[in-house]
Amino acid sequence: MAGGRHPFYKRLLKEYKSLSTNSLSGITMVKNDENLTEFIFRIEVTNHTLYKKEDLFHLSIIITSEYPVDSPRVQFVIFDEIVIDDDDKDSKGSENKDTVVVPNGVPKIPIHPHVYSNGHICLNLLGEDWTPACSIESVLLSIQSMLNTNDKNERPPDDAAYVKRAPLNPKSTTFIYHDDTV
Amino acid sequence: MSELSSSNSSDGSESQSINDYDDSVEIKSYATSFDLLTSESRPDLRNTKYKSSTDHLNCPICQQPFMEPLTTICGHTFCKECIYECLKMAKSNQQSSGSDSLSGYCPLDRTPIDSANINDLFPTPLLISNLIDDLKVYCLNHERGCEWDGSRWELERHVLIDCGFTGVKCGGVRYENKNAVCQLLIERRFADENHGCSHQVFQCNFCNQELTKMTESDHLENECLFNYQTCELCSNDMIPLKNLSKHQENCSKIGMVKCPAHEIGCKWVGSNETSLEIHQQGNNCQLSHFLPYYHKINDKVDSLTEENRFLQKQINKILDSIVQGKITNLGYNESIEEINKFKTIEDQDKLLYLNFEIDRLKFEFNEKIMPFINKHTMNEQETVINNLTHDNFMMKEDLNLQRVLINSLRKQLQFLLFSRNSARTGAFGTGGMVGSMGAAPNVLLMDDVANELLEASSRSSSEERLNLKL
Repeated sequence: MAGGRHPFYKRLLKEYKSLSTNSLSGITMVKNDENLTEFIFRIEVTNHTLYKKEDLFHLSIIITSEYPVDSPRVQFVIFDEIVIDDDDKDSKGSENKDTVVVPNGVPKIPIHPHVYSNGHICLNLLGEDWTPACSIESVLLSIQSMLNTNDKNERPPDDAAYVKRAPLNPKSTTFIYHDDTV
Repeated sequence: MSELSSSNSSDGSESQSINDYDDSVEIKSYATSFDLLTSESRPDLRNTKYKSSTDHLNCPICQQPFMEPLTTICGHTFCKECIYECLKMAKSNQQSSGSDSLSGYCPLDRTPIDSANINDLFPTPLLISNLIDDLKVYCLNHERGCEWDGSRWELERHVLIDCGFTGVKCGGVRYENKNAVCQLLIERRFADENHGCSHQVFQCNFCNQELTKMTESDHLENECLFNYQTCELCSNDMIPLKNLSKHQENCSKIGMVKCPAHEIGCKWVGSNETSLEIHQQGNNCQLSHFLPYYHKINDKVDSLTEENRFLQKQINKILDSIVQGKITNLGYNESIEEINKFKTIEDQDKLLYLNFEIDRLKFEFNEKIMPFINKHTMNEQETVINNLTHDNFMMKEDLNLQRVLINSLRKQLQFLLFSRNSARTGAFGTGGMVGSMGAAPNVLLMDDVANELLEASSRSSSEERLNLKL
């Protein structure tokens, strides 16, 4: 996609405009690129026993060239917000014009039965059940709600084995969705 | 040599500049702008900028107003391309070796959709398509400067044919190589009708700057220091166009006043309000009396051109629809192929216009002129004569009818009398009496016989006569 715009650029622009208002509670856009194809969001889960305030979760969403017909590439990442970028206004590293307070905490991958320790997420919406009617916003909300309704402080059963053999791109993995309880 | 060339730049001097071409001037390309690279290229209407927001008319997949919408059995509408892409992706994900037709699930509610089944996926009602095609959009080339706006259905034609900012191949012949045709892209407004290469370098009329067609207007308006214009207010004629607007601002600040009729040509300039009043009083400024009428006429002309433009577009739209088979032959005598035979839009318009005029004139003629003509030539005597002949005819018919009745009654009478007489006298002379009836000479004969019979019978009994009612 070097040089040219995404074929659905207008849709990305609309989504970006709506997301950059940060109107979703607990979800903040932390980074985005010029082409509006790579985003990083910080997800907060409030009033949850398992996920504390000091733990910062960052979700990377990368739009592929088949979007929206194909799902974006989504995974948790360890992201350090206090990085001096070129277009920073203040040294705290916030990209938004209105002051977003960068919380103090430790960036982590959340512990969840469907989240592997390398950040890959086993979620039907990101694979089989993705439809073009879904959007970045719906993905964010689904993942936030997935964390919110969780009460098991454990990783997936095959976590260790998976992480050893896993490809970099979670879209290459064929997850088998079997668990409806979480 | 060079002095000659500087005063008459369009010819170009013989020695050098006729062969100089500036290829460095490139057309500005934006993400939405359109270039006519081949005769088949079509603009991508996905990138159009809409004038107003379009909430419910957006496809859920691309978030833009629908392009060729299709509706699913579950009631959702998508662009044709969008839903096909979606079904293709679903098919490749499942890797099913199924039939050729695409099938999958509705993106909004996962209803199974089979594109081959016309009930599952069918064209959206034309009402929706028409509503969307009427949305107001800006030209695809608006970032290059095109200020056109109009309905979405007009956009393709505008960009392909009318827009001066569409990129086209220069197509100019360069003299250095007679067979070479310039293939560089330029905006259509710079293309030369005489097929000269627009990249040709010539000198500015006023200064020595080298220009091409593309850079010319920009130079004259913003750079050239020698294209002198005259300020109307202070008659200073050494002002380059670049500085003219500022100068006029200054002039009016000093207090130069123009007559309000200056747009129709009153050249009066004064220095304060009082002198303006004096100028307008009496018969000093005839043009200012005319000014309100001029404005009225101008407004009328503007609204008429506007209407005309709109009607022209409607006609184009209808013609396009006919060609695509959406509407049938509108009632004209020529078949659709005939109408389309005319290559240019102007000929088609003329033909339709002429046909319409003919129909209209025929109609008017029948409605208005014919009765008028008829009324004039008919006078009373003729009507009386006509009535009389009419009555005469009726009466003749009546007479004939009576004659026939009389004949038949006579027949009956004779038969009765004959049978009566033959019963009384036994024999009767004329054997031909009961012969043929109805022809005139026979009737006369019968009359005589009948008279005799009558007299015979009247002698016998008057009652019978009464009975016969003769």
